[in-house]
Amino acid sequence: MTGDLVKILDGNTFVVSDPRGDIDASLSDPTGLFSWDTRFLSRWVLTIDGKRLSSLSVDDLQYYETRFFLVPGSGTVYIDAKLSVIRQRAVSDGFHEQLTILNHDDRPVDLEVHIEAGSDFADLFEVKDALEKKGDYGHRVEDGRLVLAYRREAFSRETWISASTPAKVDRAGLTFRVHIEPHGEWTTDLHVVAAQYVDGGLGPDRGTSRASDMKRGLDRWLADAPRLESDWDWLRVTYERSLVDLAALRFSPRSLPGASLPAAGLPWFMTMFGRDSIFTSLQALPFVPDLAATTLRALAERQGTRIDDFRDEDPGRILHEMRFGEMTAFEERPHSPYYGSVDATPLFVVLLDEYERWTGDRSLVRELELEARAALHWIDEYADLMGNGYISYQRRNEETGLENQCWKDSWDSICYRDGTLPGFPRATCELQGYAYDAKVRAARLARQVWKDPVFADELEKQAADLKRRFNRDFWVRDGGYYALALDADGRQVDALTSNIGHVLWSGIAERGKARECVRHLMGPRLFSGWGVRTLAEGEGRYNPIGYHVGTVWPFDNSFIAWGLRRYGYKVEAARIAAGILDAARFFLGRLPEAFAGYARTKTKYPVEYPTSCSPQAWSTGAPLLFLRTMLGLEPAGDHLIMDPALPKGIGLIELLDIPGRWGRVDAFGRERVDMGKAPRLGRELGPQPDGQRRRRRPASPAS
Amino acid sequence: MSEATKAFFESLAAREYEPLLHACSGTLRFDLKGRGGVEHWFVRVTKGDVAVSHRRSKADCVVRVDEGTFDRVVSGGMNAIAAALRGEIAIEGELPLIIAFQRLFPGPSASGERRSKAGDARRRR
Repeated sequence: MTGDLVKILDGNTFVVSDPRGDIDASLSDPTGLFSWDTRFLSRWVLTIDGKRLSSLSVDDLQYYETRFFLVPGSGTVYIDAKLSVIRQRAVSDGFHEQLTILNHDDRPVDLEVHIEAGSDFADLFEVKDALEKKGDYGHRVEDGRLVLAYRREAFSRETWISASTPAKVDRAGLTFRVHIEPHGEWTTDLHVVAAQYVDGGLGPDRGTSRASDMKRGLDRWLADAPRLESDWDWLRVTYERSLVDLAALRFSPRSLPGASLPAAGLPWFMTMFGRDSIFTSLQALPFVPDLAATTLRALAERQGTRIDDFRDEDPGRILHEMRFGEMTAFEERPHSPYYGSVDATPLFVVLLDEYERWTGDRSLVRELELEARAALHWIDEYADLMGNGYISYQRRNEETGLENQCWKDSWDSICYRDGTLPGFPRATCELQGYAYDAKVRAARLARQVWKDPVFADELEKQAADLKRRFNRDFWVRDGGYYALALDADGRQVDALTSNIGHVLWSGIAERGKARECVRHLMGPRLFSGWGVRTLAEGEGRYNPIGYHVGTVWPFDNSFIAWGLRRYGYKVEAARIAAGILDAARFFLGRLPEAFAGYARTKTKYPVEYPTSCSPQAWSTGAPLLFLRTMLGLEPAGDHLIMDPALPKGIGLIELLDIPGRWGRVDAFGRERVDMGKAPRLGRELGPQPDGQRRRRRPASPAS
Repeated sequence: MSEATKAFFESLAAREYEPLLHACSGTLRFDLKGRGGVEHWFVRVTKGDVAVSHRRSKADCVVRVDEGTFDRVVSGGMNAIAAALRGEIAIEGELPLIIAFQRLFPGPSASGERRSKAGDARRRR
């Protein structure tokens, strides 16, 4: 049923409805008007003369705007309508809906048009977990508008509903007496405001924009991004899809009006996340570098300063997730913000350095020196839970905190070969890589920007020591790869996983050991033909449709490919890029969060793993990072180095006007990399290959 | 005026420079509502330099809160961001100022027992 829902959004205000434009939600049902994690409408049902309407079609105009074409009645066999109804809806400080009724008859009609409205003011978390409300509801009619209200102690939210034409307004909604001449039409503008705290009182959110501004903003966003030319049409489709989806995923923190960072996923994860916002900013750096600057600033502003077990907060720690709803407000959830991720802090430093390497923006590096130093301090002082010199995690909030605080955050993702699960704390291998990379990169910033060579020397010494110990303690001798983790006894959690690809990306691997890891990454147990599986075939917990124990994640693969390039494995990086980008074709250019780990030779097409959020930010960013790795783009001083290695099947990639410290430059790739017996890239545009039924239309990232 | 609130502002005034506010400039006004009326505290921040006073001046960010609630915030008994989301603290004006400033409030005193053990383990190494 989720597949038939229609979603539009702007930032974290969004509307999810059925194809008629109606909202008819139960507590656990994910439809409604949502803003800042609160549902402001759970009922919004249009009837004409007491009858519901049927949908003829839905026209997804933009991610923030859609149009529903309806006719009266629920005629399933055939429709003989004398009336057409058009609802055009755009997200704003709630939404605007233009309701138009056309009379096709040669006689006038008199109609009773009714909009039923109601709200349960559920917190997003309550919708997910179907929890009961604790406050009181109210309603009133004032100045011709209907006000729905909710209050719990000082916490208060209201929904304001008004129309541009006269209506009878009561607690159940708005009723219009409509007379339409033959071949005439009637129209009204409905405005729904999600009223929340603004400047000490309830009112519309200030940060919202009008549909026309949003259109201009989207046009500018697309025009500013580099232009892609390729003889492989699907690459262009995927690239454009990624840019538009990334625009839809922008989230503007209230503290940084006018600036935006990538939220994690649409619509349920439209908020600031440490890990997701950083990874996506890294992927998008060569294309839209401003996202990284906002991510860094917003995360720095909320960096932890105290020890708070409920929020898993420590001084220097970068947040995991920020939420704004009732359950967060009343501390029934710890997201104000919640700090329970262990990778976001070293990755914050990695992003700061990578951002400077691309943009040359040293003022931001100076501005965030204190926060970067606090993050580095956190790695040594607070993240080393076992006192063994490695980052590990164990939640202090046992009730609502996260058990696994690395990117593979499902309950069974961290396992031994035999499928058993280790206790806590857990020190996963990629975390040590991120810490190593953070120290190496911070040493460069310390020397070149902060003018502190003593600190730089110290960081480099620590990094070298960490690398030596890591290659000794994590290396699984009888397997020839890095262990997934060390457990609380310092024993290796010895499953073979995609995490070794992130180890390569961090640079912590010794060359000889990297070579053995590459063999595994490209071998049949990890490589499915589409991409690298999260967990290798043959491991105790392997399941091709297990969330982190066998599926293939595009985001994961994009960083693995970057890691392969870092160690000089161009052909292998191109092969992974080809697999994932070819899979994108089955999703009209929009990569899902994950797809099944079945061998490509078995299924012929990638089987999507069902998730509620699409697009996901780091899946959207994956094609961008693949473009970078295929072209071999690497900043060096004030220049951009190019070292292309394209997969067979792509004859040409031109990426024009790449922004950076060099101004704007163009990159070209023509080289062909022979990938042996790898499958050829699909070429046909147009109808989808057999076995795939897709509802999505290229025009809308929000469908 | 409560002791906790007084101690908080006096300690801030004595510091003169607060590194956590290094990126901020502007004036915060705290309106603390008590039985005897509203008490105003002004904190002028200039790139981390801090000046605290009761003297009226133009504020870029106004924070309105009950005296008792603010007491709990400055003594680690209440989280300021959650309280603001609940409507117990009303904020008007420039948000970046108060978002930076709230980092100065202490955490809950009961937190961190396990954390200090981990720190001990590290120091033993």
